[in-house]
Amino acid sequence: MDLIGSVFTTILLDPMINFLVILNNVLFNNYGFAIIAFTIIVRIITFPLTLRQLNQTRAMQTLQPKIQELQKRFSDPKRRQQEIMGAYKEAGINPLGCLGPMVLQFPILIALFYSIRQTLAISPEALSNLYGHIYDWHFLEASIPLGTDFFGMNMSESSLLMVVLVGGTTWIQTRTSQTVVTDDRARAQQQMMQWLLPVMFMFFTFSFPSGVALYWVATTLVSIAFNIITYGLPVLGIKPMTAPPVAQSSPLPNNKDSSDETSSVSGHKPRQYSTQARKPKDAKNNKSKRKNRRRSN
Amino acid sequence: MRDLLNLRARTVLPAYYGYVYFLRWTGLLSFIAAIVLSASCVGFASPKGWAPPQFEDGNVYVFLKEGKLFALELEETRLTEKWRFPDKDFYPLEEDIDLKAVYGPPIFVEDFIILAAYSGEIVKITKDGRYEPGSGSWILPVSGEIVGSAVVDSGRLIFGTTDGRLFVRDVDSADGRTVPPWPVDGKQVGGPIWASPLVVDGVVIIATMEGTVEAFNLETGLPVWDVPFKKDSAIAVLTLINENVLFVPGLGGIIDFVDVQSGQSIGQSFEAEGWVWSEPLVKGGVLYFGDFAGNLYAFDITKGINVEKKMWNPINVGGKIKSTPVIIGQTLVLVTEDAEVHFIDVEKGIITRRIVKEDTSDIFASIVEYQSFAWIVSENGELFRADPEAFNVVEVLISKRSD
Repeated sequence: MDLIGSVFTTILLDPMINFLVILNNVLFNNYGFAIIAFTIIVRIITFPLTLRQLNQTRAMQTLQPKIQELQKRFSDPKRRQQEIMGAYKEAGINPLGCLGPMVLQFPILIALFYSIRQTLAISPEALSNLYGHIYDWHFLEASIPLGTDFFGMNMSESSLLMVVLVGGTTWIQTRTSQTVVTDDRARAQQQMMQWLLPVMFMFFTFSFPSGVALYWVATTLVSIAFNIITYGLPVLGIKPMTAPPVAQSSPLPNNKDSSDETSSVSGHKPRQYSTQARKPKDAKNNKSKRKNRRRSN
Repeated sequence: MRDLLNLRARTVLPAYYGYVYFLRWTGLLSFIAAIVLSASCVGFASPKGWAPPQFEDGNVYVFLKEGKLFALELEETRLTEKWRFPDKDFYPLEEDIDLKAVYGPPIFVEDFIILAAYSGEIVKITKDGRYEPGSGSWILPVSGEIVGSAVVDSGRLIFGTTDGRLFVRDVDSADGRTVPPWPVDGKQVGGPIWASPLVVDGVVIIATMEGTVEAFNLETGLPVWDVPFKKDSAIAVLTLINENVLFVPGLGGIIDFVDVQSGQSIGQSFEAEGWVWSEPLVKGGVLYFGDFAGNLYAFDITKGINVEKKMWNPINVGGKIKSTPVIIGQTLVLVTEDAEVHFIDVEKGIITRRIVKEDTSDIFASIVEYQSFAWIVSENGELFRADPEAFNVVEVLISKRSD
């Protein structure tokens, strides 16, 4: 655990803290500008990861009608999963692929958050702790502690304005990242998240220094921009600026169930389940058949 | 790997696409959880205070909890709580008092105790630890926080705040009113004040985190020096090391020596390896101070300031030194932030004994000498007594009322 902490601190946290101090010195000794610039720079550097994640989600969105169709068509859970996986494979999508880039970004985002929190030095103890993170360069040490005033706002204290901004930007972010879903449960979740997240973040912001909230607002605005680039903004007639990541998947076969093996969407040779064609609502029938078989035995 | 992912997908993938959306937000929530969980690793350090213990009338006055002063009766190796302030459980008037943290020792003025708090309040309480308006107690809220301690001189209470204001109040008045011509809202100076102010012959000297040292006449409030002393790093402590010379360390590690009369630099600066953020100790014509790189320096200042005149080569104790050491007999007692107590022979400049106090919270407060022992208090209120003759360190048991 200590080793992980040391690696995290040496490779990510310390360079970020020092870069933040350099930005502060370059940007007129204004720590607020440094936070905004720093957030934008880090988000741009990690943009390839973000884009991959967004594209994966978008690709899954494209495939969603087909998945819905498969869900309706196949009642046997095993077979349904197999068909869905086949559809994903055919479209070149790993269903958990959107999580990979997100997980990779985690340490970077955590370090970004911590570096801002550390450099804010909200107490004498925190400033003392900063000693271990600042490189032994006079240019850097001379600017410690960093000024915390940003347009009249003390960034080491919480601010109502930032609470409102965090809520507003998080709400917009959830709106711009929402995908079209036909499933009722998913839609309900989207609705819930759309309000739950902004409220939750507003609650957190009350107890965070407004410098950290400024980071959150900046990173959320960048996320909104990335979402618009990837998904577009239909409300304003803005179309996605990036090409769809995968080709439109092939249409489903016309036959109701896959007694015709070659027409399976997965392209795999599915296992034989029954010589009889099954109907979508045959689960109950199967159960009763099994019961009858047991009785007859 | 792909097969593994697919296998995992087959087993955990929810049956419909909407869950991917759910997973994304779950990821975001995990990010927040990771931040909260890892907070203990990085440490945000909320204000806790680092006031050293104070001994008065056979009692120990020490902050054992953030912003809470305890008066303890000392009986050999045992301490018993007499009172605590603020005491919300028993005194309704103290219910709304929250000092947050206190960085300077309590000041005893006749029958009262004065506390300068990080909450931006100066509190004058009775000597038995009570806030009793009408009996001379008062609370003065000011803008900004107070990191250094306040000082009392000629009936004046002088303190600076982190928003760069210097206040001079009448300590004996019933309400702690401002002393004219000092402004009620404090005199704006060149930067945030963290160091405790000094008063030398009717002159108030303050240092700022913008790297300035300024001097004002206590009576008139007018500047005394032609120009303030200026250096390019923050000054968190300011100490008078003899009747004419100020010790002015910067957070970059460069120490300047400044003439009290003129505000001009004396001799050459000294560059320590790490930040210097503790008051030096002067004893027997020797100046001792530690830095954050773990070095203890000793200079002979009997014939003026000369940074070439080292008593011995710096001793590296391997941990951050924030606490001012003490010398008892021929032994210098030093403690690092991570609770390593060092006994150093001041003649030879060698470490005689090193004792590590395991599982102790950080130590920032200066060491205090009392009854030939060195008293050390940790951030979480653990109190230790170091014996420089027996070379041992024991934690002192405190019988206090449970909350």
